[in-house]
Amino acid sequence: MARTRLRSVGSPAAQPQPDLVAWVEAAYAGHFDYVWGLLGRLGVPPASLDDATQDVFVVLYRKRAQFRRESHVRTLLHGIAINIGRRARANLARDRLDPITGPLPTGAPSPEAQAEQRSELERLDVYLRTLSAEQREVFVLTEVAGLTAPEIARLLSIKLNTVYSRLRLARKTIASCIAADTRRSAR
Amino acid sequence: MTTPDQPDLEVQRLVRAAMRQAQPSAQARSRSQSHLLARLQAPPPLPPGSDASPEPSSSPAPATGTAAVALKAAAAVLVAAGLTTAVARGVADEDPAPSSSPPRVATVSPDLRPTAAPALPTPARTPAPIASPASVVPDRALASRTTSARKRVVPNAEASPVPVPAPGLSEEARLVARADAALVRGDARSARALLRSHKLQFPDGQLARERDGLLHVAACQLGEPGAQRAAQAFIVRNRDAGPVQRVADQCKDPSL
Repeated sequence: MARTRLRSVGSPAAQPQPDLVAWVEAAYAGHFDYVWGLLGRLGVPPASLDDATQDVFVVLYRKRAQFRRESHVRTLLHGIAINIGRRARANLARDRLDPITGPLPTGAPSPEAQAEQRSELERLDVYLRTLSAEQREVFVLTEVAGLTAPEIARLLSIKLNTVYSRLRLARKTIASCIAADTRRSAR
Repeated sequence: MTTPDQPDLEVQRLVRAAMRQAQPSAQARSRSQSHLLARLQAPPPLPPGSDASPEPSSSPAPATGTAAVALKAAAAVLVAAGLTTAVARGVADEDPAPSSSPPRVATVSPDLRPTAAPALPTPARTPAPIASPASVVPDRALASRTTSARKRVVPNAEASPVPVPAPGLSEEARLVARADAALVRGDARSARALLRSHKLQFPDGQLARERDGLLHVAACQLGEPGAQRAAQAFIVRNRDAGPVQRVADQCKDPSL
């Protein structure tokens, strides 16, 4: 079933359409920085960020027919970015290059220690690594993308209570990281 | 019912400050836009199951010199002949396109909702696919691609060994092919912009000679002063190059 659908939409008979390319170009111009920042917080490694961001807009182009008559483009970008982020994390975990979603290596400095002397962005990324993948997605969609809990529940197809639960845990973890970092700095 | 707790002000402050720093460089933005345009404008890949429709792979494969030479030669010949579409099709294999090969990701979602990734620890809580007539997830093939893998052509596992082009060559071919297409339709300015982009990214690229030849063609189409003289010098220096005949045809001196 799915394969049939894939074949039909990805038909080789389809040709690039200039107006749709222009539409995606406009979306790119307006949202590239945003998607780039979002993917980074979702765990896409810096070396893959440019490619992953491109992938988001390629998917946007491929799904153009659906997108144009439905939601605001940013809403659609969120769904695609979540997918791309998950797959980037899965690739990393499989390749064991940088297990972002896994525990920190034994003997490695604590997140708080790593966060010292770093920019806010680097600190946030270190803290985000302490979250589970599910908590991270909900946290990023809330705090970075500014989505409401019901929007996130719809986007991720999870219960509203689950969103709240993950968000609470994520905020608590991040807040504890910040507090520990502050204490270390004060010493 | 669970209710949301109040956001921690320190957390919000950190996120705001961090996101102000999360900005791609202008160079990355520009380069990425160029690549994106090439990917969007390239014709879709060949039909699934075709011997010539390689599958993206996450495992970087070593480039073979034979393959690189083959692709370069093909690109050069096609550029010389003005067969842009064929070149673009030949390098479109890197797009996140559907394929008949077994998917690497277990779930294929037919709508916009995120699909489950196999490495996520809680697959049971991932969303179920929801039917939507116009949608498909062509990004399925993205699952296993890495930055390095993007620039390689990897055959299906069951297929006979297929030469793999050198990294970057397909990007080169895309730019040159797009420039060639622009020249064919008479848009020399766009062609020159693309060729200059190629020169910037691949100053000593494997298609540098083809690029330079097309730059002369563009200059001649634009009627720039000295273009014909420069083209003649190019022809003298590159007698055996693919684009020479095309440069000669496009840059004839009307006084001769």
